[in-house]
Amino acid sequence: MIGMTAWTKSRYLPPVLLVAGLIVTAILPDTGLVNDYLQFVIVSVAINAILCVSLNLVNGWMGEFSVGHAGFMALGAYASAILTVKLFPAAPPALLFPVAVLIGGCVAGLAGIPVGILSFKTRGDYLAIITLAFLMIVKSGLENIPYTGGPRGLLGIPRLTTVAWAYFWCVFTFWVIRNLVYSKYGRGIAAIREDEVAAEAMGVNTRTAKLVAFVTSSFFAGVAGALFAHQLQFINPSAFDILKSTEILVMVYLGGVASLGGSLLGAGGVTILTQCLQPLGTWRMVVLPALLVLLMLFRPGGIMGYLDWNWLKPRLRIKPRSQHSKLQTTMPLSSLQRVTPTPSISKPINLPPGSLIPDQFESDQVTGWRKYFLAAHPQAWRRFWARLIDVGVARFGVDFVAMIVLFTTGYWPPYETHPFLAFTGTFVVWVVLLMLYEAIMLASFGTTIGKLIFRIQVLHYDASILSFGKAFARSNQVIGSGMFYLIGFPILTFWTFYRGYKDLVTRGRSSWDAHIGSVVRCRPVFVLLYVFGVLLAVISFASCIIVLDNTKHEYSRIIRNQIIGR
Amino acid sequence: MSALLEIRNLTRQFGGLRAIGDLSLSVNSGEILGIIGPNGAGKTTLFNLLTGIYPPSYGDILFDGRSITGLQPSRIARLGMARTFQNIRLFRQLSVLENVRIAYDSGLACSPLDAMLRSPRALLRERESVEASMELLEMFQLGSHVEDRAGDLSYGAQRRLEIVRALALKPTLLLLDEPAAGMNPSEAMQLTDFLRWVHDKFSLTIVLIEHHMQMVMALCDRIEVIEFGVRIAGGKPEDVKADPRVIEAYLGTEGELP
Repeated sequence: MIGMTAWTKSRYLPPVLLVAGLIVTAILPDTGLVNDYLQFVIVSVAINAILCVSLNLVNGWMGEFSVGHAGFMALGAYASAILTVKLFPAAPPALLFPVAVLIGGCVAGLAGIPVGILSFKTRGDYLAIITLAFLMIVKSGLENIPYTGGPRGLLGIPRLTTVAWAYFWCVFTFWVIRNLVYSKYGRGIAAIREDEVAAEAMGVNTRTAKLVAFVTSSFFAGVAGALFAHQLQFINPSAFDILKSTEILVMVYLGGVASLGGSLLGAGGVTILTQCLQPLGTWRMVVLPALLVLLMLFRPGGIMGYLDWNWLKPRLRIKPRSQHSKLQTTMPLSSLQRVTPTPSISKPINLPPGSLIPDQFESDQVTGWRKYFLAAHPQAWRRFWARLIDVGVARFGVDFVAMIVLFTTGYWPPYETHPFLAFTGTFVVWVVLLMLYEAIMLASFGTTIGKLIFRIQVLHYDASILSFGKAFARSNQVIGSGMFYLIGFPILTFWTFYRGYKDLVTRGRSSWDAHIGSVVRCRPVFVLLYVFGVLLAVISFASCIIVLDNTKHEYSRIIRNQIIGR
Repeated sequence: MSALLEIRNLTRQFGGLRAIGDLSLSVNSGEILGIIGPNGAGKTTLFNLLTGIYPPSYGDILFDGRSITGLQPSRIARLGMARTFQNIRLFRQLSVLENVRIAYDSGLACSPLDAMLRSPRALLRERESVEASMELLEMFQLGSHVEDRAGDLSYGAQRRLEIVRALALKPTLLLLDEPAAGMNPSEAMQLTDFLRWVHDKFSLTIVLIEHHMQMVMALCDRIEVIEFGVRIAGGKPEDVKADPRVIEAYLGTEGELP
């Protein structure tokens, strides 16, 4: 999780994981572990993820509003289905299917060119109307072609979309779009969203960028359409109407605009949620739109709007420059004074007792996860008690959620399985809730309930409140250190005080005194301590939870009996 | 000294309004030219015509000896004409580094297919653009803010970033549209030092629109005065200061005063 820095930084890890995933998905259907229904859901998630990320290129990164995505999808579906049903029904499917999918994508991509050209001069609402018109042209065109069955549609398509193929195309799509987004063209596309005039003035050829965005987006919509046709084994024009576009739009705006991770979340979340809500009948149509309304109110960019997980971003290996070799030509001093605000980090801050203290600082001495728990804080005990209260709050949150779910459904998923899963399930919910709670509180208020009581405010190093992404990344890493604090805290405190004392003796001043929040250098022994601390913490947590969960398991059984008895 | 930029009989009509009327100017290479004039004189329109954002109704613009009239703005920018905007127009959602890289990337040859498949060539270009942009940002003391969103920077830093972004195009001609807007006199004088340093360091030609007279007088080698889209005076700063037509344009004639 955290101690795997060397592993996660390895350049071979992503391809190894991806190939392993491909092997697993290829074997999975034969093992009998997943039934047909589950396979259908998995393939649907993959197809929707392709649709979502490709639409995100236009609607998220470029900031336009295209509603014609189902039209491109239809072209891909029909082109590939014509190939497999009408033209080469006897060809070996292992050979034909990849070709059919590619051709489906190309046909859709070609159709993307005119729409892209129309976008040179039109923007916003007007472009949205053009894409709507495109969708209607495609749909009524297909309805009037007898060759493909007209409004009845194409029947008897072989079922060729396996889990492995869906996985492969999904990964390929994400890989290509990730490369594109983090390239010259992707930045140009984002610049168009921000300010088209400025983008042109900075040399971005907006026409090329728009064309690239539209063609790529429609190509992958076509690919998804081809996979879709060979999953359902039946397509008709009314499957690709405005409702289909809306469904993809919901995924994009729910998951997060201009975000790869958001596309994944949106597609997975919406697909799985619609499956889970089947028992609700018609009422399930209410849940998703209601969710969307709430999201638009509180987080208009979607869950991950404009953010992404670091592991989804490409890494660029660049030799680090020596930090302190100042360039010989810097700005004249007078202008330096004018525009450079004195960074708070270089200035020691004198804190009156009981004042709000900054929680963590960036430091170039220690990087990565180390800085999060090796920081020698002047008032570390306050932080410890604050953390303990927050952990309690999160635990209370889990109980609360469990109670609500239990009372409404008579069923709390983690308790209904194996005892081992029961406590790990609750534990995971707890940790996730703790992280979310910390991140949301820190991003919104700069403090959490526990920290508020002990008057600690978490600031970004330039004294501004953390963004949601930074807060989440921070809480992610702090959870590890939180566990560590429980066990390793006394040792750490002793060690840092010892370090400070030694500095004081040998150098005449303490290194962690000079800058508040300065960092003690990491030593191998700390890593060992850390691992030890985590292990102990997990064991102690687990024992607590087993006791707690046993009682709750009993409780859930009683309640369920009552419900059944009624 | 040869003329880097030559404007011949440039005219721009907006409906019935003549924003620029038959304007002829030339900018020598290596000089700092100030363009002044009252509000609504057509100064920013002139910049928009030069950078190709508006096509001229009539007339010709020669840049480095070739006509750039009717070219796409991005093409003109890549030929070496960079600009900043009166109201800062950074890509606010994007990081400081991305802002600079967008400008730097435009000069790099890399096909969309290269970019999508992340070919060795694309990687080479990526590295080059990061390194060059970082170097530029460090030179302008923005190195500690590379990951920050451009919109989160302080006002002064945003102004500076806009200039860095323009310099990332490796321009020969830099058009600055009111760089001292919103600054107090002492800040404006510091900006003067800063701009002179930029001018010398990057061996640029600078055309500057500015209302801050003290700064224009201190910085510019030559000044052109525009009113209602027509050039009314021009020459050395001292001469322009004393020109009765300029005083009239700014203050009105004696008769109009109450």
